[in-house]
Amino acid sequence: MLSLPRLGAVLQADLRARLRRPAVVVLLAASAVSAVLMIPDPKPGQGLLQVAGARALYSSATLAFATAMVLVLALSFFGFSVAGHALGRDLRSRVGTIVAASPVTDLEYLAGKLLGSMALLAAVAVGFMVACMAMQVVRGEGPLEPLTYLSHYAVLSLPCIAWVAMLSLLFECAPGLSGRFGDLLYLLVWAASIPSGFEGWKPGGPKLLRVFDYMGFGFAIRQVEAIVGTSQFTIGYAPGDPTKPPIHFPGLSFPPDALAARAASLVAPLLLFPLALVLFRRFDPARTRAGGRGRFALPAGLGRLVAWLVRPLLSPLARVAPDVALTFRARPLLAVAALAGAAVSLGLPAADVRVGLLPVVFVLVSLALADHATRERSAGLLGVVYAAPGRRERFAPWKLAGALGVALVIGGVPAVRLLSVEPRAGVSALVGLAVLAAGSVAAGIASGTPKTFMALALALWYLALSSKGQQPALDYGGWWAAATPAVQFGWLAATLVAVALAVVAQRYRLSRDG
Amino acid sequence: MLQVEAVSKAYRGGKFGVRELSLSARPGVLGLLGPNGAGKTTLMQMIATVTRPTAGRIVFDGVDVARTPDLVRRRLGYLPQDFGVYDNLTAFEMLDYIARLKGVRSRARVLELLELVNLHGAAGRAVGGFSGGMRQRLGIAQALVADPDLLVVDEPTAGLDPEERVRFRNVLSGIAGRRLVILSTHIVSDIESIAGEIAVVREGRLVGFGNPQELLRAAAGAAWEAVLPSAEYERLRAGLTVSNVVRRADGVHVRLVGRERPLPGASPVEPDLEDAYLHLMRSLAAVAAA
Repeated sequence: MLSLPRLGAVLQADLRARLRRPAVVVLLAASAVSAVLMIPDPKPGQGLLQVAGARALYSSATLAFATAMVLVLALSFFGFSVAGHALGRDLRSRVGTIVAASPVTDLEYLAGKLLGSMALLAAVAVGFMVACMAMQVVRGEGPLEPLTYLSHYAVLSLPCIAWVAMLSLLFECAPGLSGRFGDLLYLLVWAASIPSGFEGWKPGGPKLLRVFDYMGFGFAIRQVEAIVGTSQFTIGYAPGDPTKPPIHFPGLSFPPDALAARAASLVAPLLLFPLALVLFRRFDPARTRAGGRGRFALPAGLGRLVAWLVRPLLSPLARVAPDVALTFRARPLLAVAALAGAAVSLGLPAADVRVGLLPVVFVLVSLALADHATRERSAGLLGVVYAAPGRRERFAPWKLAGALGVALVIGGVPAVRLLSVEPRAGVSALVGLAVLAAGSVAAGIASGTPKTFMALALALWYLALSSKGQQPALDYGGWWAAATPAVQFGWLAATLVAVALAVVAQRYRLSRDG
Repeated sequence: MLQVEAVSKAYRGGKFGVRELSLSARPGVLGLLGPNGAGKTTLMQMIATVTRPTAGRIVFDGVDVARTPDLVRRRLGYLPQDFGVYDNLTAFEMLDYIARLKGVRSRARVLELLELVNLHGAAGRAVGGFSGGMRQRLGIAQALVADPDLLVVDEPTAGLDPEERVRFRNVLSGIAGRRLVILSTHIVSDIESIAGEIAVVREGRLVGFGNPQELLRAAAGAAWEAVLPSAEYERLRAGLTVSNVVRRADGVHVRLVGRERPLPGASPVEPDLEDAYLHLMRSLAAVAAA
């Protein structure tokens, strides 16, 4: 029988523990600050919503719609990381063992965790919405209509929150998906949901697909097309035609069939809950391992093989080699992927390596490096590592060298292959790998969690990929061969800044921890 | 009250954590002794419903623990070997959380338990800043918060200072009566004074069971004491089973275990539980070697 007090206890403790984490406080603050940055002063030719070059007036409808769309994009992309690891945290902190021996049922526990994740994401959404409403008071061109905000945010973001929270819970319960490979799979789910959403809301399209439009992009974009009579519009800050007069955007309408579809999309993820219940192993030590290595893990021998191959390559850096090898020992699939990537890069035409393979390689590098600088801390081994001669003082340089090693093991062969055929793109690829290596260590040491780097790296990856080279500054990995030498120097400078940040953050931690 | 009937826990690869182990226990304190890796923790995890036996069954007051774990969990207090906390919750919040999971909604009860383990002064402090001993005391409080009939505590005195260890032993001794307390340790002195029965586990099997007097009787005539020059002790010690060593001005006072007189100058003494335990382990090792 479901006990609401027990469910409430799980929810409350989960939310308390998460909201007090510095990373979440920073996230909430960042979401409010981003609202300020996102809504600039309205000027001719500039606005948050442009229709055929004409900016939409800053009415409540315009701002509510545009900011809600940006919110769902961010929630759907980063929310998985923000909401995730609720069970992993209990496993690693060993609170899970106490839970397992308590009368709380699997249903109560998982429901509490799901609601906790949803509440956390909702808190981010509400914080962002309130900040946007405040910005309307400052920069708006119409009265503040809270109900307009509420309706747009609710209809667009609630299904997104439900799906993201449910998928993160399900992946944590599923063997093999509770780690980085779950993150990668979610990225694929996320990418697949966008076209399926558009397809579902196309006139005559399969309505079932509307359920999977959890970001509401299909629903919103089709509506806006119908309202403004064109598909030439831009959401988000973009330059427009200053000679065109501003237009009035009335906001989305919510006819019953659309609301029903959004409600279905809100409820649909709950159908996955029973699957999570079946897969949940209630912290049974015989069936669960901290670190999330599941039944899909390959034999450690493969990791050892790569370690054996890697070690002589890095013999001058004998202190770094074990740290590099550890990454592959812990995740043998990465070793296989690195070998496969290297083999494929040698057989493919250079252009295919650049556009097809490199973006995949950069995702792999990001996954591999996410916890590179934080794993000792989370495993409670920092003291042991610091006890090695010189390691305490040179922890940041040691980690930087190790991260660069990991990045080169995974991406070095494709980058060098590119270098031989398209030198400029090859240089960019190497610079991009250095950016990831330095960024992972800086973000890891500064924030103490792998999530910060994952969020930043995936955001940069998405921006670079979607720009298709039209913004050379975003071509940090050379995938579009668009980066000029100035851009390459810029990213190199960013790498050096990250290196400096890592060193400073480590010194601060050492001085704080004594 | 508790019957463990031919229980085994097998892992992939054919390894056993516990192997065909049977015992029964009445209300009181049952001490579980054994070397590291003997299977104590696995046995306790099975009794505490955290993991399931792969063979056999565990019955508590007529209830099959694996079949209806929720019935047992309502009457269970469990302190695992590595008690974990949410670092950013206060001691009160952490204990209140676990209390509510167990159906206890009384704020007064939470405060009472914090006082019992001497943490009332730190109730509002984040647990992340606690020392190992303070965390362990919080763990003891959470195990007791729902006034359990079955209390399973795994290495509870790890990290406690001597005063806290005595305090904890007294708490356990006080609450055992109509309840069953299962206390696992490899520190014999932790259970010497409070355990009504002792189970000795080695390589997943039960190798000894009885009250302390029975274990002591089995070791009668197997405890010795000798005083040796330091250099001679260093030379001989590899071949001896030593239960205690004290260095004094007149030499090394060494307490030895063995059926035969281990040294020409050794004199027989009354065995204590530590001697009895070592004697049992030594005998088993000899049998295994043979």
